[in-house]
Amino acid sequence: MPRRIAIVGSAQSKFKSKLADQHYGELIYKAVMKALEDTGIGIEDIDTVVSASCDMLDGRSISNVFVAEAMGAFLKEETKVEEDGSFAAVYTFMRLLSGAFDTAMIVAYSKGSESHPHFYTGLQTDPHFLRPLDLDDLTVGALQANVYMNRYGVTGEQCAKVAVKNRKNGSKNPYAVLRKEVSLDEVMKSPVLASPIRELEAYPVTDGVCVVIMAAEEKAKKMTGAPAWITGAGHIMDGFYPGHRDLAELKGLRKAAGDAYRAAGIKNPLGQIDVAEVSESFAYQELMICEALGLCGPGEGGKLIDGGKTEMGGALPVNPSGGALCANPFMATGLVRIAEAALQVSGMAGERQVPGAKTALAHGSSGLGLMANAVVILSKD
Amino acid sequence: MPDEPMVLKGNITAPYNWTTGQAAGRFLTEFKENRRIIGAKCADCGVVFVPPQEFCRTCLKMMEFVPVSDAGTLTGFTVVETKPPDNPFSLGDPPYVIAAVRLEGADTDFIHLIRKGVAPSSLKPGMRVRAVWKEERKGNLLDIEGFEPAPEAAAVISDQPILEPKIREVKGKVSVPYNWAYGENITKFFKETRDNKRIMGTRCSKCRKVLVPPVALCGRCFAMTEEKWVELPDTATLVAHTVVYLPFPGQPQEPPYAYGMLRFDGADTQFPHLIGGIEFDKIKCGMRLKAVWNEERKGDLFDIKYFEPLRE
Amino acid sequence: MRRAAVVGVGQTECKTRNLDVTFPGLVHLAVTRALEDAGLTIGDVDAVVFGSSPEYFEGVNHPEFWCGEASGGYMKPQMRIHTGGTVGASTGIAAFYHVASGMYDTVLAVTADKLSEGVVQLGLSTVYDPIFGRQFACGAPSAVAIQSRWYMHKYGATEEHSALIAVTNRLNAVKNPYSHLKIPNISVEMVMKSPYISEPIRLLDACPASDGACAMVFQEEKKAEKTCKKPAWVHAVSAVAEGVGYVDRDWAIPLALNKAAKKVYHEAGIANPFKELDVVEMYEAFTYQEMIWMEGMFLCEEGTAMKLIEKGAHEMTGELPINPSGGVLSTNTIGASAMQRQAEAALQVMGKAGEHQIDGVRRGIAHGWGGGIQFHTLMILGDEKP
Repeated sequence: MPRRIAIVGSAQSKFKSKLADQHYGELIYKAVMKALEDTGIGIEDIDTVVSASCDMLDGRSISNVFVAEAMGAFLKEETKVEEDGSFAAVYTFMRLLSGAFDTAMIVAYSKGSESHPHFYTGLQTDPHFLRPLDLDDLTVGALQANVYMNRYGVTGEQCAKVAVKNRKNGSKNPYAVLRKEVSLDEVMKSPVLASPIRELEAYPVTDGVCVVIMAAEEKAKKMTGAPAWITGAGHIMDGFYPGHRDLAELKGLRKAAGDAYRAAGIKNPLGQIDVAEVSESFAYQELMICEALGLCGPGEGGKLIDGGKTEMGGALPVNPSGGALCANPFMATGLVRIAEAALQVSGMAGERQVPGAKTALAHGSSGLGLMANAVVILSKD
Repeated sequence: MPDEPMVLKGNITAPYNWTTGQAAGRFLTEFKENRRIIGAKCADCGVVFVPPQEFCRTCLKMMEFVPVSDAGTLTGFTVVETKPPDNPFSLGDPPYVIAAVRLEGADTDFIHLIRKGVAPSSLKPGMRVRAVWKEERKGNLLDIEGFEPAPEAAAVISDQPILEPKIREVKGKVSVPYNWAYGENITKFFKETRDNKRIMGTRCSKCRKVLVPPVALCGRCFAMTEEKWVELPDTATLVAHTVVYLPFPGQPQEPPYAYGMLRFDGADTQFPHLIGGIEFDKIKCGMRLKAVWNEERKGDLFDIKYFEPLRE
Repeated sequence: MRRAAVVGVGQTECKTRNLDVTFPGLVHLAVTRALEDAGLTIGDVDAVVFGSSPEYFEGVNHPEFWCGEASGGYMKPQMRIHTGGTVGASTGIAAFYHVASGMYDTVLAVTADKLSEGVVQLGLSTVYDPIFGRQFACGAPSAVAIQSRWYMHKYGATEEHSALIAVTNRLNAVKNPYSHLKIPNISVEMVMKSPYISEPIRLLDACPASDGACAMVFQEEKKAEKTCKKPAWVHAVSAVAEGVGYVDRDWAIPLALNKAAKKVYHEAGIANPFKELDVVEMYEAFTYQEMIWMEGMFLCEEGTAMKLIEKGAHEMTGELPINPSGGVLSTNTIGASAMQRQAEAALQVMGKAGEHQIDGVRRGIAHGWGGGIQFHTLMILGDEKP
């Protein structure tokens, strides 16, 4: 790569299921100011701002119109990626790699409570073949879970274990919405939303903002003593119609991870990666994601969680933050994963720190049933 | 004591006329007229996609439309137990079953429903299922009521020629409710307009300019406004205006009407509002205006009915 | 920075309602035409950038997925850019950065909207703040009407000036096979007799709402030279934002455009844009904006654009032709509009603009406008390597 780029700072709002007392603009500038303050820089040090948000979620078309100022983008080079924030991060990485900018800020946000997840996700369907079935992320996800579990004999209990693990991790994350541990029994007895997905295996509606600051080498080293270098990135879009994909395999994610691994020189992900933060809106997804990332073979996600490798203290802890199951601010979820992964390699993840983490993976996703995926590899060196 | 938060409840409702094109157009026409399911096949890779696409996603070449059977095997399913919020596409009360079916002749799965009345416990992946067609069909995906188990169902693929797309567009509607939070500052602003007919602004801590609406951040300086509020009169100067004549479905005001950007006396930002009490052709940039307050005020922009010329 | 060039352009014919194809179908058409123009296949493409405008136009959220396969993005890196009216340009700029980053060599950018699917002014009215202003919004016309009135009041521009701009653009559009609104017998009188839609904007001062798509292929230097005999090299790009309600805002002075213009002229080594540029493609959805943007991009002094209009400097045969394609005034898909500016500027540089080709274009500039009259983009394209 022509120049080295690092994450030098980040901020997350304390995610909540409903922040009715805060205007979304306030949420944004508070997080932006915190990110700048924690990094020890001013808005004048930022060359370009890239945001990730969604018109239909905000109920404000061209969603960056009224928050350009709150993002500190007034008279700056600015653009918006209308995907999960991880895609905005990948594009920002490219903007910096090009040499056109030395510093950048990525801002991703949503207030899921001001609308309803059904509309944000359900309206992603086409008008002719999917819309008449009133599908959304839950029902497409449930269909995917069913196909996946049947194909490989993954059990409901194995999926539930993901929720137990992530909720336990989330209890130590001050930014998480859900901070209470749950037992396997509680998960298995929680009501079914759409079979096989149960209430405690689904994400909470979340309001919040995530901000990440990136810089090119020279500036990065001045801004922080612990930069998280971006050593690889990849993003791939799979087919649109769920039936036109093999729902049990995340082919696109496998390819995106392959691209990121190639750039980062990772041949054995389980051995070379110390920690992963992934975007699992529903518990079963973490197992599928782990498979596509090559942490285990196809269909072995259930065994992976049974073996405890992805727990804190395991060979490769997945979602020390609690993941999307503990806080899922649409558009920001993947950027939160990147921020958390950066904190891990910078050694600043507090109670959720994986000791000695040198290489971290972050995953973000957009679309129904994990249709489009982005992978970013961060490294201490 | 911080003011209790206020929220603007609203929704965006919009009508659509979705074009069906060559693929969905043929598919829906065949549904309605021939109770037949069609797919599309790429001449290069030979894969049959159901529902059909116009072009191959791998080589982007146009595909050929081919009929497939309305029977096949069940790939997977979900029993939906929670009702999505009301919307124009609601399927009614759960439980209902969404299924993926591999139709005979197709290389992909077709997503549809299991017919109401079939016990979910009787469903097994890999079992044979068949479409149950409605007697009265409208050229919609739901012309099939759903699929049902049919162990003996034969794979009949009629080879009569595929009809041209007679269904060219499909009408529909999107309706999304929103709760836009005012936040602390705007809540205070609207409590003041509602309770005291008072205009309140904020002052930037850096450039010292006054902002109405009273946001907490001066975007130009990227600096917070001061905690102390500024009270302004309800008089203003018109900066620029328009008279709207163009009507469109779903318009919140009925044209013609006049509105403009005005600057409250003492403020350094513009504020949008209606202009009334004057003939349209007498409205001029720079004219002096005064708020006409509504008798009934709810804490929103229409606490002020409109602005009329100030008689000084 | 790695050099990048435009090696292929594909546009669809734009019209009020295209009943032959779906929204993805439009995207597919532009993509296949751009690849054909470049002499490439989708297999040669490393990454795709998709752009479209507010989702309420077509009633489908995240349309990059519904249109994903049509965009050529299946099992490829693909993402959606959405910045309102500037989106077409922001998407082209994103494709440029994809190449400049060194991560991808051949990048396809495609933008579209199928405005006839929904109610365009309703969709545009949802751009306004629901708390302050949506209550009396009339889509784009009412905001730009206020901007136009502001400009007229400040500098004394008249309805005749706007009518002259309408006439020039509409006559140019007649020569462009992809343009939507063609009025060969247009006259100043006809414009001034057309009814107001939002005073001072008359029907013929306004753009139509179009169904259409535009795609461009960007390539890195070595591949571009192999693919294309005369590629259009990207000399400089910029996309700058303003706020909406900031203090002392003057709607007749586009600060973001000022800033973007200074950046691209500096990078392209341009001291006198009016003299050194050979053609301008700008995003004027309404006539008055042409004057505001001319001043905003320093083609003339503040408040003097009307003098250039009076002497016809903006016409095909003038000193600096503006919008030989007919501009946004003649074709507005919104999603693709700002990319059509880049594509048209590229065609002019490549000498492939057909009937509306300006002779001897060496350098052209493409402008995009969007958001709450607050986003501006610029791209300078030239026939020589930057």
